[in-house]
Amino acid sequence: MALEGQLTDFNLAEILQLLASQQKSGFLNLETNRNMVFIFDKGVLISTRDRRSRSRDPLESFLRAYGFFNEQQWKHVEYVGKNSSLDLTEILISEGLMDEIEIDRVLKSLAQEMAHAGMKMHRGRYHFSPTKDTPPGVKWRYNLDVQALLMEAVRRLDEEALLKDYLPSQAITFKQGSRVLDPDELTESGRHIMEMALAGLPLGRIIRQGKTESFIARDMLKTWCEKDILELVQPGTDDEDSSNRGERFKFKLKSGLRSLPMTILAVLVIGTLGWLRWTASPPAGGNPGESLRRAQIRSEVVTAARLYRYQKGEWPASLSEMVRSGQLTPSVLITVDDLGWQYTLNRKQDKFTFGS
Amino acid sequence: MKVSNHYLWLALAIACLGIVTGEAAANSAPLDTLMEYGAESEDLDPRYAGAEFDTSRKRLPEAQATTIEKSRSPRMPPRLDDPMAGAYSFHLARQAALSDNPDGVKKNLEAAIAASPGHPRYQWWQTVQALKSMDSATLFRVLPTSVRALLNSPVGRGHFIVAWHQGATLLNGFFWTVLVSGLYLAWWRKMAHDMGATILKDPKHQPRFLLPLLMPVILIMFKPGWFGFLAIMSIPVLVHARGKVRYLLLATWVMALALVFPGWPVLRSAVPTIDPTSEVTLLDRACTLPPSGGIIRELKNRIATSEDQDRTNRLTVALAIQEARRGKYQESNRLFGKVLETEPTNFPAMIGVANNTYYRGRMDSAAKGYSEIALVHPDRGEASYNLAQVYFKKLFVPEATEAMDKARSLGFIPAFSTKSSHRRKGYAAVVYPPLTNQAMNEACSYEAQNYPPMVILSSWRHQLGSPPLPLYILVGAPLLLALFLIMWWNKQNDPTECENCGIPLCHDCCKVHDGAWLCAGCGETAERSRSDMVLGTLLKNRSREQGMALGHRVIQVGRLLPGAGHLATGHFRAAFIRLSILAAGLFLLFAGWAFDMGSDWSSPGLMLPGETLHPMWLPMPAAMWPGWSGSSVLLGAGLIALSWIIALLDGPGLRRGIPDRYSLTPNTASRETLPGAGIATR
Repeated sequence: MALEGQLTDFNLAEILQLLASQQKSGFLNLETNRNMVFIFDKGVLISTRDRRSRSRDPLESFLRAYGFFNEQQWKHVEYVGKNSSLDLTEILISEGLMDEIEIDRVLKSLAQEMAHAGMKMHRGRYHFSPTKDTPPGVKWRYNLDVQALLMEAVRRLDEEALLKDYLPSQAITFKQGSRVLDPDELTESGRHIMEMALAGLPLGRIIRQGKTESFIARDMLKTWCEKDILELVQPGTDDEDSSNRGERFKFKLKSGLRSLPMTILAVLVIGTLGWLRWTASPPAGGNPGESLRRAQIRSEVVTAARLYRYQKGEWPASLSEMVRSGQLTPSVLITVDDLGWQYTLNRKQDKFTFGS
Repeated sequence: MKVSNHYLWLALAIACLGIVTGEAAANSAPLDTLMEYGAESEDLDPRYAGAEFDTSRKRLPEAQATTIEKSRSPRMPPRLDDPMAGAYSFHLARQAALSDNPDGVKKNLEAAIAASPGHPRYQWWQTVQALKSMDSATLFRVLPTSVRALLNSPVGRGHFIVAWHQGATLLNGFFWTVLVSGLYLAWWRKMAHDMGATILKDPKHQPRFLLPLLMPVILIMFKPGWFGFLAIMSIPVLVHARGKVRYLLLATWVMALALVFPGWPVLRSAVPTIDPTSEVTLLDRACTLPPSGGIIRELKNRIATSEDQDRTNRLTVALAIQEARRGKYQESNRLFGKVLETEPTNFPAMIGVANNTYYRGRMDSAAKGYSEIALVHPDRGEASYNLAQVYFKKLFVPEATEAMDKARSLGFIPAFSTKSSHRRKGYAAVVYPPLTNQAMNEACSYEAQNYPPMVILSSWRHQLGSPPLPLYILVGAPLLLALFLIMWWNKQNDPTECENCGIPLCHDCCKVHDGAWLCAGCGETAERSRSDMVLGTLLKNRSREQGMALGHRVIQVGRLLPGAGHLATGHFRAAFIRLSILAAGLFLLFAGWAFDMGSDWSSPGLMLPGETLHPMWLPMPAAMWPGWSGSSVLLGAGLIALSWIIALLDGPGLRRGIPDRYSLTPNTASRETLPGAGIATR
């Protein structure tokens, strides 16, 4: 029997504790403004990614949100994902974009962040679908203790307000403080954030490109500022915004043609040829076979008259009589009428005339 | 006086007679009268005795061997054949055919052929009737005769050549149409790729499937005519096609060019034979028909204006035959003699002179003449036949029989018309042979230049081409251009399909990976992929996807036009068979009913606009339309339906015929040389 209810009755922390204490296995779905999944195996959190779900992969959202890869790398990942049935983690590993340790760290960070976000939610539904054994279809499982997860999440909840007070604006920049920190003392993420801070990037950008969670990045920066390693620079004139504004109104003229001049030239040539064809070409002239055909028709009529005479001993009185007797076909009679030819019999002289 | 012994015995015999017939002696005996007249002659040598009756050599007719009095010559020579009876019987046969009376057809046709055995039109119409009625026995019997009649008669052959040329032009046009259409459908994807690459800026050269319609639409606006349209549309197809398909298209195109080329002597020489007012027709009539004042008048006019000796001889022979048939043997001989002065071995003139001699009663001269002719022209049976008639007249039966046998052995079969009079005034009919094949051929060649080129296709000039541009230029110039492009374009041997997925590629969009030519998509995959697994999976998936799409497309194309699917998959023979069936069906449906081998003059390519079904869309003779139940129409529709039924059933076979695509995985394609851009690969 599934466990379900409203978050107003049971919050995430209580649910997670319950599942962990009862060593349950299954899928915990949270339906809020942001759907989440927590996958458990015997009370241990093993993943927050449900491949059956149609919603966006949280790992991908996490990686995109914190600038882990550039646009080109994402295009490649999308390309590979579109043309294969590989999981994102498999693609990242096989394409050398991340190693296993990094993936593991990122996934745990993701789980942490999701727990942190989930604990802030008070409205929504939860639904736990238990499984008998290890939940199937989990790509890249890890083992994360729920208690530690919750402890960290609570800590973040407490300290988040302080961070917001210390760093209220995303336009805040930093500069070198009085103290200089040895880079060896920093983790890779710390080095990366320090570089960006010292480069004068605003807070918002540092967070978006920090390759770590927002809380961690802010926490680092706050800590460095408190230790005078960095110095806060409050946002002043927003020159960056004004320079960006100009670009928005740049009129983009892009031609889809390979070569616009050649295309125009080709259209002109075709148009000219067409004009020449219909206006400048000499007239077709009359039917070259008309006189020959007329001679044939005349001969057919004369031959028919001769056959009539052979049969009946006299010339026919009219062409219609030949048609009635069968020596001449009606179509020839019609053609003769169209040509305006006349058949006249001269009985006295026992001859006929035929023609126009 | 000395009296010889034998006269003494004569006197004694007479004395005895006087004793025996004592009583009779009382009456007056005839011998007495004789005796009265002969008494004075007893003294004369009987060898020198004068005539016993008043006679003189002058009173005797001039005796030149076997002769008959001139007054006994026939006023007009008899004939074996009867052209008018033949024409009338043939007319009755055609009437019987129209009313579906096979017995009437057979009876009248036999009478027509008997009356005019060498008439090629009767022979061929009999063959066609046998073919239509599936009478194989008659067909095999008459076909050799028909062929022989055609070969022997330039006039009959001309009509056949005209009909054959028109039919071949249409049939070739239909086949060319279905072939080009099939190749276009088979190459549609490649055309879409190439045109998209040429016109649009797209590094991947995604195919724009409507672009290939651009070319035919633009061409139609120029109104190039049927053959002009096919010729221009064939240029890219010929350049891109490979192997047997290319040769087939080239052969069809060259055949079309040959058919529209106006300079063929055989074709040009055939035109005068379908002109009733031509000199060829006049000569034919003069040699075969009964005498006519109009014919004689016309011949004389033409002789008066002729400046060519050969032409004058032909006209003179024809005139001489007419005069002979009128009974004017002397005038006829004079004319024949004029011809023989310049052509001593002119066969009809030699026979004509001998015939006239025969009818004038000079048997031995005639016989001598025929014998000489038989030596000069040993392969002609007419001389032996005529000689036999002379021998029969002289009651030399064995000689006559021998001559008849010889005539038969030379293949001469005399006509036999029941309606003509074979004897007149005791004279049997002899044959006046018409002008020889060679003479008639020369007449045809002489007159051929008087007619405009391709006049026999004048009804279709707007449909086939674009006047005033000559048709052979409209067909030939694009052919030359296509051949030039083939020779100039050195990238022809470059691969045209992606070696992984099979979609079209070109020099601009292709990528080379491990020696394999890949399309933009597969090439990008190959470049991006850093692992073998992903590369293999992606390429395999793409290959399968494109392969399935190709199969689906090929089947659709094959159902749209029979044979097109086989062209797309390279099955030449199957494609050729299907296209041929379709083309034959179209020909029979639209044009097969328009040909009448028994017609005097008519041919479907030479009609006035008012005689056609529609002068623009269907310029075929309206009088020949048999209705939808006509055999040609039904057969054509049946063939077309058959071709489409085969196309519908072809699906599984076509799919099986598409080769399985292999996926290009790294380290599999090991080529020694990497094909460079534009370098021909093998």
